[in-house]
Amino acid sequence: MSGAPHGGSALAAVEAALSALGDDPCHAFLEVDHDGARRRATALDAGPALPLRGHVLAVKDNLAVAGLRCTAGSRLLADYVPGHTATAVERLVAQGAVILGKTNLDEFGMGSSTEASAFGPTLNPRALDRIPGGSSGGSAAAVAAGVCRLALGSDTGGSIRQPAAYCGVVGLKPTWGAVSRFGLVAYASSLDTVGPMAPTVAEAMAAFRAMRGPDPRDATARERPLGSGPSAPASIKGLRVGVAEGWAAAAGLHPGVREAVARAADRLASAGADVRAVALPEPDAALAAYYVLAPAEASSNLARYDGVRYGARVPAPDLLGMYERTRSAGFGPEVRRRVLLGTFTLSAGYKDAYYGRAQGVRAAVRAAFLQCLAGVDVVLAPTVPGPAPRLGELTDPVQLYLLDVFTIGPSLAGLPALHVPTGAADGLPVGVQLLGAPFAEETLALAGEILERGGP
Amino acid sequence: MIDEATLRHVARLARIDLAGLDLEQLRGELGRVLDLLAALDRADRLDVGSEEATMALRPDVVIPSAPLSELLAAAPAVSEDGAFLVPKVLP
Repeated sequence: MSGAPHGGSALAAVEAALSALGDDPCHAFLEVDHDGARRRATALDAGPALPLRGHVLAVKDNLAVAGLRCTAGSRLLADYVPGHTATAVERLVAQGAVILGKTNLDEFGMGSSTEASAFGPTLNPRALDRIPGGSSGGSAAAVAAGVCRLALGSDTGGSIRQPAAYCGVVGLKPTWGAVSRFGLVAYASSLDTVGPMAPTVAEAMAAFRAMRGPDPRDATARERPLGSGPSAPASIKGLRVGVAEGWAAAAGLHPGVREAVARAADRLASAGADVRAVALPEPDAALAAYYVLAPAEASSNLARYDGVRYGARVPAPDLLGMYERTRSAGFGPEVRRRVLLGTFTLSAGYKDAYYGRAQGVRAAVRAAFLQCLAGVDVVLAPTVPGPAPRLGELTDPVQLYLLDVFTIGPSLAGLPALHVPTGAADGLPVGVQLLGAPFAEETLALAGEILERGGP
Repeated sequence: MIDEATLRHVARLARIDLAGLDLEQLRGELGRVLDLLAALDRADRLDVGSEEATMALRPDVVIPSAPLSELLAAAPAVSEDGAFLVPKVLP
């Protein structure tokens, strides 16, 4: 990591973070652990130097931290206090990071604006009338507001990259399986990833390197497979960069985003990369497959919230009535819609037409991405269609779904993807998305650092 | 568009009580999502199952799970002898 903040003093870092936070005008946090953070920082300062000492961490509130409430943005879990800590969090803490608090999100990670939190929206620190994106909107806002230099998010179909784009910070969605999901409130397990958000690529990567690797408590977390090539090329010279020209020419794309992709391609070329055009799969097929598969998995994962083992219960004379009333009162409208949708597409008579077909489309999307990445090291693409929309501007669920049109394909394919801010359009942050083959995070970072420096 | 009978059936399967909800609005919203899914008909598809398995087997070693008291503490109703309490199942 490039120089420990606050001279490596954890307590100085915590005090600076609390002072930058003030009364949290953007509502980035659902809970701030003032005392716990100060206590932990004081203990750290008295101990041996650790790589992440002096780094204050904001944790998305769908990741468990023992002793702190974990609401997942849902009324149903408003008072749930887990006794365990997510592996990703535990690994950062083991390296000296101090947890400042838990950040706001769309309920259970289902949303693109953080407006679907049961505890009220988060505002975008770059422009208070704009959404911060979602679902990791609180984490993106905490970094963008300068409260902390490290935040954890989760990304199922774009929930790290899209808010990173709207708030102008770096966001890394790791390869599916690179970082343990133990302690993450599950949404769609075949897509869920945990990853870092930070002001710079170097800081995001330091966190990623600390978190990655197998975990006995998550069988899907694994090492980078042997024989998957060098962990990172030594230099940008000759790196093969494919520009997703079809995506960058998509109808409805804001000219500022189109320009950001073109400028990024120029920068990488002048740094010595071998830049060429590539074709990625059409985004509308991936979007459709996602809105079958993710709600289907959600309908199963969220079956556990039944008023028996967690959270609030709405009483009823019989068991079925208790389940139904508890879930209706506990889930917000978007979660209810996705659970109903997922139940519908898995139900008898519809499963083959929807779920089966979506699985086939996902396999084709994945194959097309991998084929494209067999010919290049990095693909450069838009992250979002435009700068952040206004709060309350998008009221129809489908309008919100379309904000994730460029982030969903890489999620279906399980690829790593890095959002790097590169400038502004209409006074709001814009940037680009870098995609790579599974476990190519280091290669993405190499290209990302060139882009954030603004040149070679 | 999902008709009302199908919506009620699905809500029952999903254990969601529809009382008090605007069913017309909900059907409209779900219908617009289903319109979006029509892209599946036009898209390329591959057979599923040919992909390599990505999960590795781990050693079959017992590791401690969370203490019972911690799990019970998160529940809305528990008995004195450490069980989850639910409304009467059989009449």
